[in-house]
Amino acid sequence: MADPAPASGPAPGSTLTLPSWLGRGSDPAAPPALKDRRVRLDFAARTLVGTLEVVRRGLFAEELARRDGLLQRAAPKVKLLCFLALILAAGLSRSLPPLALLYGSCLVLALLGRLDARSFLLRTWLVVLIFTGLIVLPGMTSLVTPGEPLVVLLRFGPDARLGPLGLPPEVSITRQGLSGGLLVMLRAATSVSLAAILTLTTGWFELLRGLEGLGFPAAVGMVLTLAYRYIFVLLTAAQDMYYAWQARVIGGSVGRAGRLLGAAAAYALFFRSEALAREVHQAMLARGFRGRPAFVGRRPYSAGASGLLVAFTLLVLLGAYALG
Amino acid sequence: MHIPDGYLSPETCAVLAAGSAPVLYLAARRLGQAADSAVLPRVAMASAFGFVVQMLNVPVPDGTSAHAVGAALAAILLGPWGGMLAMTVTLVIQALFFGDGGILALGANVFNMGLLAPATAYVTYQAVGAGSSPSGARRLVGAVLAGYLSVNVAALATGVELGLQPLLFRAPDGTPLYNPYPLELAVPAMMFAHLLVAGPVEALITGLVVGYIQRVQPELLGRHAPTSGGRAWLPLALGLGVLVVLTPLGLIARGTPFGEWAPEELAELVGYVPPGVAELSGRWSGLLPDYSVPALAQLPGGAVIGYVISALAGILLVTLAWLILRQLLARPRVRP
Repeated sequence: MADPAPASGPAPGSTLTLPSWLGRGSDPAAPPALKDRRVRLDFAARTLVGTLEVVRRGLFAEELARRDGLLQRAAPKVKLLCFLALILAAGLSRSLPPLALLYGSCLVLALLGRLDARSFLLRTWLVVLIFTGLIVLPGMTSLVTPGEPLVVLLRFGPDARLGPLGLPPEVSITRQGLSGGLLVMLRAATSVSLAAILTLTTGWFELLRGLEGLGFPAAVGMVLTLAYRYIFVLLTAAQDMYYAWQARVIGGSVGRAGRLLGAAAAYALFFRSEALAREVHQAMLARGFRGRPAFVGRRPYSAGASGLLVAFTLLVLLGAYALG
Repeated sequence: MHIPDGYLSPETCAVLAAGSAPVLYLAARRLGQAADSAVLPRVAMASAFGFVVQMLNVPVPDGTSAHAVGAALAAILLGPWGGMLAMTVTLVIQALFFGDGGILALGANVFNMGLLAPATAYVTYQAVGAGSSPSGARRLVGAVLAGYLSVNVAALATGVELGLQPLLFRAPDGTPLYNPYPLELAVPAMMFAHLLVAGPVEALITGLVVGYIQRVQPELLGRHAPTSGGRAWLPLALGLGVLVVLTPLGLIARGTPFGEWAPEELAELVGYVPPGVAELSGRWSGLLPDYSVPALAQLPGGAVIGYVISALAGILLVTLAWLILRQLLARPRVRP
């Protein structure tokens, strides 16, 4: 890197000169300690960013669940049933038209849930394109899915070889491969969108009330509730450990120390989780727990909103059936 | 390794969910007997631990950082049943709330990472470390192997489930309806990454944590002693279950094993069919010839279903024969 300022002597006509050490650029050949430090920040920062992202998403979802949309007013049991039916329909759809209809219904549902359309589309399609699109792309070619060629990508000619490997005369995107890849991508987009709309507009505790209403054992709901609540407690503990470590460790070789931190943090979290389990159990007994958990309702649900959602779902399912 | 929705057919997800449900019920019963009403907070906190431990990054020797799946750690610290329940609850929360893994695919993800991975880890850990003290070196080796194998067995099951889709679900014109990669591509793709990268990372992190616990509180590792007596069937049942799921891998193999030729193959190889072979070969073709079910042969994916049914039938027959023999041989002799 070039020096950004002269290192010696005042420039003619200037009133301020930089001392030589301040004007010196950073050394491109950093000492080993500095390189290790970059690694340290990487692993600690990745942990902290990951944990903060979970907390941020938790808070964001609770905030969205409190908005006054039609989906938020529908009863959680009804909402769960409708969304599960739509996700199942997407799973069972084996051609593009019904999937396109189901995906279109996602967009309507996102609007009914008062979600920000732009960020919703961006988030879901980013996930779909990265995690599904890249994976199914090679599957669209004749190498994986033989069929009618649509676009020829590579021509090797007859009897072409790469060392011991025999090459096909050509590699093309096939009609079967393309429609199969689009099926998987559209199905994934529909399922991811439906799951996101459901969880973003429901809130965790309402979701569990819905599960209980559908006949899931109350104990399952209680375990999920407790686990979800205490995930944030343990996440905070993990963050504290990594922040404290970052604040105390200045440099030097940190690979081994970082691994030790990970091991110690896992042990400390396990120890903490066991202590929490005992404390929570004692607190439950002290409050008169008799083996049947109760969920406290937060808001009244609208029968009209639930009815509208059911009608919309039935309409979409009928349409998908007719198309598929 | 979290399979999203769209790659597996609902039928596959339903079968795997149905297979997972009894094991989870058994796990909940086992834990319930052990800890009464304390079981709910215990499983919940273990699940919260299972979730958070997946977020702890540590530096790995190549200069980057990585985190563990945590199935082996959960099985070692919480025992097989606690580990299974903790991993399952973690997967449910990840799917429902964080969109990590599909909702329909939850049954498959629970089967792979919630049941197979902790069960493999526990069996490995016990097999290697049984009889040694909690702070012994064999326990550490067992933990490292448990971490490595648990991730790879789960990855293998994931690869098989994905690879079965184009065999089982294809439109009449050949369009793959779900995951397009067949077994011979899906399994190596999954295993390459896990054998070389994810497995060693899991082994490293599991070994680090168990090694640390051995130094500071080894008695934690002594709580889940080696299984014996009534529970001895568990590793066997789980191992057989894995093998049954994996039997369709036989479809990848090409050609005929040495010495198992049909008469027509023999004729091609040596130019004639020995009279003895010609006379005896057609006498008995078996109920499930070539590990296939004749009634399913024409269906898409019939070959795969035939392999699985053949494996189950074989296990049932061997078990039945063993039970009969045991009854005959173990009958108390009455002396005059």
